[in-house]
Amino acid sequence: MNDLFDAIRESIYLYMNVDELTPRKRQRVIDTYSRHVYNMDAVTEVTSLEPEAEEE
Amino acid sequence: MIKREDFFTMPIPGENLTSNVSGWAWHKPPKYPNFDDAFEYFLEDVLADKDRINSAVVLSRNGFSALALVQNLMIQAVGAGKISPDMALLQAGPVYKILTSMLNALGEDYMSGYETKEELKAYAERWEKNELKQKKPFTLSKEQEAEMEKITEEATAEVPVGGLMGAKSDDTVQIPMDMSRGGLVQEPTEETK
Repeated sequence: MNDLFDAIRESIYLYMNVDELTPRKRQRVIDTYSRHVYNMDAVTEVTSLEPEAEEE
Repeated sequence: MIKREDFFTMPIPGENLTSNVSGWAWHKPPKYPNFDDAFEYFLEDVLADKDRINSAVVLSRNGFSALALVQNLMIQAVGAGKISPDMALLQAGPVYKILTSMLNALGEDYMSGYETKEELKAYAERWEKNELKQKKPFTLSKEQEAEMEKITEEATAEVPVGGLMGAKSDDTVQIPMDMSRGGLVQEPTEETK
């Protein structure tokens, strides 16, 4: 990683594609966020927008 | 190429070590050293700010990827002394996720920043022809709308001023303001003497 821009790019990639990582890497990413209130599940809950069922 | 006259104004070797750099925000302890506090700052002060989100939408429509937006946001926050560079790495993922979900909800056709060459080419062609896909914007359900109204009402409701001590009363005391007599104790009038 050359600079902070590259590091942020890598960090976002790991966060967004956590399911595609190897088990050890995945666990490392999940553990990093699990000790905070806004862990991965909490953020997923905030971002889940269920569209309104179309009325026919 | 260095101009000839610039030789006289160039910094002397070691000058950077003598200048006072303690004034820079990023040289001081960050304002939000805690992950949750920093995330709340991004949620409340950045992502919930209508003007900033409007700017993000305009930039994304003009070819800025969501990744570039988050990168700039993080660098800006580090530069302003809000978070440390390490915290920027931790915050980038969640902030990116929320920003992209907001752009999705608005129905924007934006670049994620991780496109392949083919996807980039397709996007550039759509952008050139001004045919960006307009997805259907997200609409709130009736329950969500009712909840939003409730939250907005609570947020905009006037805060009660006073309390018991601040309550207005009808018992007003007339204080004589005649300075010639002096004091609050009224002097006996001539009739009562």
